[in-house]
Amino acid sequence: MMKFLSVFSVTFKQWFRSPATVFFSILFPLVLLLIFGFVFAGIGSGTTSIYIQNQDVVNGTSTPLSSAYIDALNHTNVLDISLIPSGVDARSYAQNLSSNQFFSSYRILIIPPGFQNETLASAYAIRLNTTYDTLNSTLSDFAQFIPPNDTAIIQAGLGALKSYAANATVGNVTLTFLSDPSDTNALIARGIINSVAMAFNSQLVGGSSVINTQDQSLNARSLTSVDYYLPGLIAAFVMTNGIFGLTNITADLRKRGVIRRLLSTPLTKLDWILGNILTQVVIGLMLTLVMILFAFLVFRVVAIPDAFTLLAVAIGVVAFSGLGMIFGGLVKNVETSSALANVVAFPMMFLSGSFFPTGLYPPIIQSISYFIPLTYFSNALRSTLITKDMTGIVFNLGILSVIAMVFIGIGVWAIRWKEN
Amino acid sequence: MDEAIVVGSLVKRYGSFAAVDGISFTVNKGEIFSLLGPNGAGKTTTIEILECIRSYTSGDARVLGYDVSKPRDAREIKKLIGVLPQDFSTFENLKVGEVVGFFAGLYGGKHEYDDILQSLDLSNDRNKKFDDLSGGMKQKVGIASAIVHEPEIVFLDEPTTGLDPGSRREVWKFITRLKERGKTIFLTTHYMEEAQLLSDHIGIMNRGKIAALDTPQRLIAQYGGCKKVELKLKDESLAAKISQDFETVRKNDKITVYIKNTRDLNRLMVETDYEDIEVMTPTLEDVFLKVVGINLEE
Repeated sequence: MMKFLSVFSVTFKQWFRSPATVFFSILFPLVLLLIFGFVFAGIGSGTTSIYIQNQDVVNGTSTPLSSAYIDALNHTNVLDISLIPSGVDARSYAQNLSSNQFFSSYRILIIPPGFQNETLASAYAIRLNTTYDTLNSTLSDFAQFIPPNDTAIIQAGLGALKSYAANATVGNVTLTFLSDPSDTNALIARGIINSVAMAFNSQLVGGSSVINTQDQSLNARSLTSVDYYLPGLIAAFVMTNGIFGLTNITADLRKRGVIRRLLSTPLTKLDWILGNILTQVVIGLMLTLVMILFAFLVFRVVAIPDAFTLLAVAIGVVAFSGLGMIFGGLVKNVETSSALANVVAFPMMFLSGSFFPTGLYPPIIQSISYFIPLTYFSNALRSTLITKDMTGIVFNLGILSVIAMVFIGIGVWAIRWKEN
Repeated sequence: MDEAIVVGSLVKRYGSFAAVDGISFTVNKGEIFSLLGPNGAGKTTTIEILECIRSYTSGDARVLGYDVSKPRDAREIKKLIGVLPQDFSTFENLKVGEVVGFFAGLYGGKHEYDDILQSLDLSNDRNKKFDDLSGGMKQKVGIASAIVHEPEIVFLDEPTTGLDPGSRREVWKFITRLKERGKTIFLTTHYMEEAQLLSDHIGIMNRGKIAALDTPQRLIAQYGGCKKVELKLKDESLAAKISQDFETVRKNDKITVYIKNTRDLNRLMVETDYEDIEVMTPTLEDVFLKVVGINLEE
C-alpha cells in the first residue's frame, strides 16, 4: 500500500473513532442548518407584517376607496396585513398585540378620515385642469385643422371648464406610516405602500402605465432560504475542517511526540500531507452528503450533487488545508496558530456570503468579499448544487483551483518535517 | 565494514550553547551501545541526529556507511533503523494491531508481526485501543513498532522507563534476543543496572561531551576501583584525612571510599575508627557518580 494511503487509513480511523471530532465535523453543521433553516425561514417567504387602521369610515363602514386601497396592498402578496379597529389608539393596540411576540417590532399604516372624499375631490380638480390645459393647447396649436364653428363651441366649453376648475381644489391626502427606525422590514413595507399609492394616483387622474415589469424566475423551481444556506454551510464547515483539521491534528501529534517518531521512518512530508488531505476530502464529502440528505428530509430541499460537487469539495479541502498548513507552519506555537485560524476563518464565513447574500452588505464589504477564498467555494457549491449554472461552476471552480494551488504550495513549504 | 555508527567531532549548537560539543564514538555492528547521562547532557540530540531528524552544526556522523547530513543517504538510513522514542505515543484511537501494522506499512513490502506481538506478550491485546493500555504496554507497542520491519539498528530511548520490574526483565530478554539475531542496539537508559547488564560499550555524556567511553567492566575498573567501602565515622574530622588518601564521595552522614587494592582496604579498616562499615563491589552507578557527580536514578 502506498504510504499516503497508510496515513489516510490511520488518520481517518483516528477521526472516526473520536466522538467529539465527529460531532464538530458532521453533527454540529447539521444543528446549525436546522437552526438557520427554522430561524431565517421567514426572510425568504417574502411577507412583512403590518397593522392598518382605516379611519375613513362612514356609518361604521369603510369607504369603498379606502377598502380598495387596502385590498390593493393585500394583493401585492408582500404584506401580511392585520386590521386595527378605527376607534382605538393604533400605537397602543399594535404594541399590546406585538408584546406577546418574541421580537416586538411592528409597523402601522393609518388611513386618515376623509381619505375617499379628499382623494376624489383632488382627482376631480386635477382632471378638470388637465382636460382644460389639453383642449386649450390643442386649440391654439392645431387651430387650422378645426372648423371655425367648432372652435367657438370648444371655446365656450373651455370657459365652463375653467369656472368649474376654479371652484375645485387640489387637496393633499396624507397616509401616516409608523415604524421603528432600526426596522429594516419597514423599508420594504414603505416601498410597497408608496408604490400602491402612486398606482392609485395614476388611475384616479386617468393615467395609464407605460413601463411595466414582468417577473420570471431564474430557476425552474422556487428557492427557499435553506437553498441558500445549504451550500454556504457546507462550504463553511469544509473550510473549518480543512483549516483546523490539519493544523490541530499535526500540532497535537507533534506535541505528543508522534510526528517525531514518524520523522524517523521513510514517510515523507508529501505522504503525510497527501494522506491527511485525503482524509479531509472524505470527511468533506461525507459532510456534504449528510447535509444534503438532511436538508431534503427536514426542509424538502432538493440539491442533487454531481461530479462538479465532488470536485468543488475536493478543491475546497485542498485550498483550506493548505491555509491550515500555512498557519501551522509559520506560527510554531500551537495555541497561537489555532487562534490565528479562528481570526481568519470566522470573518470569512460572514464576509463571503456563505450565510447571507453579499448584496445585502454595504458596498465596501461587497468589495472585500471578492478577496475572500470562501466566496468562490460557496458560490461554486451553490452553482453546482442549487442553480446548476455552468458558467458559475466553471468561473468559481477556476478561481478556487488557483487559490488551492497557491495555498497548498505555500503550505507544503511552510510545514516542518525536521527538527531544528 | 564492522562499524554500524561512526561519530566524529560532532557539534550541535543553538546560538552560543553547544548541546553536543565535539563528541566522537563508534558503535560496532551487532553490539549493544548505551549512552548514559543526566538530563540535558545531549543524549537525545545525539540520537536524533543519528536518526536523521535533526541537523548538526559540524563534524561527521555516519550510520551504516551513510552520511546522515545528506538527504538521499538519510532516506536509506531511515529504511534501516528502528526507533523507540522516549514516552512513545501514537494515534490513540487505533488498536494495537493497527498501530504496528501502520508502522509496518511505512516500510513497504509485507511485514508479519504476529511473532513480535507474541514475543512481547501483546497477542491478546492486539484489538485493544492504544489509549486504553497501561504505560508499560504502550512502551511494548512502541518497541514492536520499532522492530516490525527488521531494522539493522534499533534506537531504544529509555525503553523500560515506567515498566514494572517483571516487564522490564521481559524487555531485557527481548533486547538480548535482538542482539542474538545480529541487530545493533543503541540504548539510552536511566537504569544503571540495565546498562551494565546489557551493554557491550557505554558512553557517558555530560554537558554535551563524552566524559567516559568503554566497556562496562573497564569503566568500573577504571573509575570504581577494586572495592568501595561505605563508612559511618565516629569522628567526622577523620573524613578530611581519608579524602586525602583515597577517592571519596560524601552522601548524608556516610562517606564512600573507593579502594584500588586489597592492601589499601586492610589499611583503611585497621586505621579508621568507624561506627558502621559496608564493603561492596563497585557498579556502573559508582562510575556515573564519579564521572558526572550526580546519581542518575535519584
